[in-house]
Amino acid sequence: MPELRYFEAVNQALEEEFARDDRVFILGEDVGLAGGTFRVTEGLMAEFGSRRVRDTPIAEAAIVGIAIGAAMAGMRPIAELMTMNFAIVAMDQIVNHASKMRYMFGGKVTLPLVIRAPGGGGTQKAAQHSHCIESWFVNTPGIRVVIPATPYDAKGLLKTSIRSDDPILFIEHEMLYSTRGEVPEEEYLLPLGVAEVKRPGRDITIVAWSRMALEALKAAEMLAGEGIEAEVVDPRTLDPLDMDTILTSVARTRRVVIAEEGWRNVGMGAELAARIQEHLFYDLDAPVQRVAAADVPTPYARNLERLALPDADRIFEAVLKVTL
Amino acid sequence: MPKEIRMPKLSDTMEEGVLIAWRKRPGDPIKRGEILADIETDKADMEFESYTEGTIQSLVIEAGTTVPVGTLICVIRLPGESEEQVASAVASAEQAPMPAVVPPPQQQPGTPPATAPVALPSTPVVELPAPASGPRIVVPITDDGRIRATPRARRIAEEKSLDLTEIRGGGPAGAIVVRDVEQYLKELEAHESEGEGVRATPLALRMAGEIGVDLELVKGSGPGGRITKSDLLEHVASERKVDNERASELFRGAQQLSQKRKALIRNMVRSKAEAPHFYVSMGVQTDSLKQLRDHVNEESADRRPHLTYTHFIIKASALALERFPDANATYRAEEQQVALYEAINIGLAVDVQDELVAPTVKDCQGKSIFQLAEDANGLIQRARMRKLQPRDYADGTFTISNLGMFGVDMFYAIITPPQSSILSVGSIEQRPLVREGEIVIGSMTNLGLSVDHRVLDGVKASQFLAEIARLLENPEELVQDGHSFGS
Amino acid sequence: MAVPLADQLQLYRNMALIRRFEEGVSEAYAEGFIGGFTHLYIGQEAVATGAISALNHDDYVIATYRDHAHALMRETSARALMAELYGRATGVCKGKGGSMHFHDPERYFMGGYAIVGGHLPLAVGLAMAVQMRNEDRVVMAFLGDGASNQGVFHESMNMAKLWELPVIFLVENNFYGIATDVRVSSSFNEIHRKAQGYGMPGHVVGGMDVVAVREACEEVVKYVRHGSGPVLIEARCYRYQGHSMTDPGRYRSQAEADLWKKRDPIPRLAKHLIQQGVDPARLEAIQSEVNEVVQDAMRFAESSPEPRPEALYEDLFVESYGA
Repeated sequence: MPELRYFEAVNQALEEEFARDDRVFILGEDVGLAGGTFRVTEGLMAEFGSRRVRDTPIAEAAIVGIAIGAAMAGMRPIAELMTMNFAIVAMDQIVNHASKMRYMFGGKVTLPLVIRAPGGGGTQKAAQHSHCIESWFVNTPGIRVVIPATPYDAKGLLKTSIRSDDPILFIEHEMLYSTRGEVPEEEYLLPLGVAEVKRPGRDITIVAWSRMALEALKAAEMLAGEGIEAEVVDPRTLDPLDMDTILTSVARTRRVVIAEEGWRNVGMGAELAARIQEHLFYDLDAPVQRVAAADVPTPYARNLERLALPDADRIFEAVLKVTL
Repeated sequence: MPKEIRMPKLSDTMEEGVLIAWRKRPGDPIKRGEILADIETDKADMEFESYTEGTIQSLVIEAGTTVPVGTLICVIRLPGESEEQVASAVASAEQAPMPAVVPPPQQQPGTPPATAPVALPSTPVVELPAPASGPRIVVPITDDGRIRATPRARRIAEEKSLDLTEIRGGGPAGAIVVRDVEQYLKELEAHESEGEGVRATPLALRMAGEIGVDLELVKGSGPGGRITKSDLLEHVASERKVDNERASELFRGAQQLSQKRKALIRNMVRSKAEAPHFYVSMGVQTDSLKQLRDHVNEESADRRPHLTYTHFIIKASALALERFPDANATYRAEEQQVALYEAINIGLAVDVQDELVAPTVKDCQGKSIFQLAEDANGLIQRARMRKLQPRDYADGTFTISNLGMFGVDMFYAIITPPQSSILSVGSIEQRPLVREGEIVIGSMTNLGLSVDHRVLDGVKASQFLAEIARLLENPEELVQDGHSFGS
Repeated sequence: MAVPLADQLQLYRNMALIRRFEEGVSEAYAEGFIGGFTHLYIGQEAVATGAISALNHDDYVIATYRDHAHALMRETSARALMAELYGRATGVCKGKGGSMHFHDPERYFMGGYAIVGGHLPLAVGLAMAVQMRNEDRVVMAFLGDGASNQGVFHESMNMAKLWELPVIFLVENNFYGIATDVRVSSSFNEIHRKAQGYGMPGHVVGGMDVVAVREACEEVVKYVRHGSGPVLIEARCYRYQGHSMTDPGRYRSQAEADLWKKRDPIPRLAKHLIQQGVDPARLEAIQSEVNEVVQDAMRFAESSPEPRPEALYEDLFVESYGA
């Protein structure tokens, strides 16, 4: 099976869906002529033209709003935000419009819209460029959150997201773009709302997504060296969320660590911890652990950033805390 | 020193680069700003400019190679350096570790984190006495006494008969990970090669010295029969166990106290703690009393209750309290007041099957001795039958306690709070007495009065007690009021 | 181009309907049938009526929260709108939206939005879709004077002109952003001239004269439909009530209000019609007719059921995948 880098897998998904349905188009900053700041849209403008691969001014609110308007009229737009940090600039359009319109218009509107952006930090981008805020959008009803960790997941989930008739926030990660993974040559789609057990284990469950899924796998290797077998579960989509797979795993291992790159306070881990204890209170052998970013704006200095953001070592520590 | 050129980080997410092509060859001069090579990054192909001026000494990697960011790729000889100088410098540089300017190195599995971990929740630890040399050892122990070690670390330790308590934990919160066990084994090997008389682990040796234990007496269970720290501790514990067993032979058992007993104790403690007790005593000659008692009892044997000394004492106390109303008082601590009472309620301390109760004769004022005797008898009977009601021992203003029946000649009881005094009566004994300058044999008893100084001072207390004594020595008063006698 | 008499009568009827509808809403609100925010169009009827009458039935209309008139002009039934206001299951949005969120895509009324200026990029997106599909359609986006100061107005104007999209930005300038006079909120308050900053044509029209509005919009619509790019048109008008039902409008002087009352578009058109020979009785008949429509709507709304509790979780996601 061929090995692709993450950004190549996303590029392939886009190309295939563009070719398949000419209602699909993309707008965003530097997506056309420059091929995308992360090379994700490389070659698309040449193949599909400048109407379907549209460079925009720096105007995130309008980028998302225009996508919403076009979706209302029956197109299948993809709005690319250069990073998730700029989703904050477009919050009104995402939260007050895209996620609400179908509901407040009594089901009369369908928005087959994908908003794509890479999130996360870890490369000294400092406070305004390191946000990992998927929990904000999982908290908001009315919009889906898809957050793949591997090239295989990214391609399959993006294709499904583009074909979905609901508004979807598709979150990639800058530090994942150059990671490699096997991607089948034949076409395939991955369903929303299905988690993947990326590594089976009997001693503890680690729930992790996006870059943290890879860190969890690293931690699992370290733990195996200590005789502890960790099961890594990647939800892949946070909304819809496959709670069944997570609960089945935790019911068996009886211990769980949740690893996320977002802030710990009121994060996605808090929601998962609440749900896990709601269902498995009497089956847990230890309190649910959360590994997450320190509750500070991300600092610039390399050592501070390393302290602020979680990694395999932190996950390793958390596992030891509840298994020893 | 020649300039080492390493694979540059040309984008924020770049982790490795492909050296597409060299633009210079060894021996070529190079100026600042000239392109050294073409490099492919994760984003694009870039031209790599030189910041250094000099001559290309060597190209370390071949065109087309992919290397991680920070890898040495080229050496530039600076102006004034010779080739030979540089060649030897490069040889040693290649062995040196990579400089810190490079992005964070990948962590090996099992390596403790390079930076101090962020505050982890505390684990209970047992601190051992710091050995003479070497760092303090912190052994992480869980709530149920186990040592925190990973399964594999534990397995290895077991296989090699290692004492986990001797191993320094380098994992999170001091947990023992595989690497720590491997480190410890190395230390043991090194120690063994030094040679020792009695075979013990380095730590056990140190500790034995500290605690003062003769290692000859200790059994070793460590690798090769070595004495470990656990062995040492177990030895010490078993010695202590022997001492404890001997001590327990002297112990007979603990007694549970009833609620009533506990309440009594509480009251006694409170009384002594709060009331500043002082004591006055007087001896009382009792011959006249005996005479009168016998006479009255004989005279009215069938019609009235049989009078005892106690009844006379009750009556004497009642009359004295009437005459010294300040003694019929309680102290109210909160209000800092002395409360005076009309009713004279005298409690009689009665011992019923090791419960101390004080049934109280109510309204002694204005009651004849016969009435008091009837009331007292009834109360005492009920007390003996354990049929006292709460009202029977409530609201006492004075108490009389008698231990004379046991041969006690003199004692001072503890005041029953909130009363202000208590009369303690001893036995009636024959003693040599002085009467009108002559020594005669007569009967005597000692009265002790314990007084709360907050209510009565010495003078009043003495006067009060003197009145009781006087009445007992001149007992006719006690049987007046409604009773007419013959002579 | 002169507006035919028949059309004028239709304009009169529509304005009267809007007026009567809004008065009914006011009454229902006071009686507690309608809650939350409600923004009345009384005084501004000429703008929506004149402008939308210049459109084809399948041109997109998108508006602000003051959207009752626009929905009525798009021919959504008064019953469906009143029921929506009453929060009933028979409302145009099943009672889920309320006053500020009418939406009737079958009639090309694309909503009702509460965030000032928030719908403008949506308008641009609709126009982008029209352009990509080469459709013969225009988008008419209504906005208030206050929205012309929002950041997203600027983004929308810029991108609409950048790509020459078929969108008409129709500014209903009633001179107040809630309580703030446009003169103290805008550094440059000739709103139609802001269009120049984008290289876009800008027009202004007296918004109290429905015929003038209709004629101006016909021109603009023709221009835009031709593919000449977007246009901004400012209609100067006045709302007779406060900003919303909860605003008594005390920031305006009585003198100013009286001045504008004299220019009430409905009696103004009535006068004009009579001058052209229309029988006053005919106008009265129209008033009766619209009154009955509104009364009927209110009766319908009042007797309609509330949404079922299950409706709480309905219409969140469609969970389908496009063919």
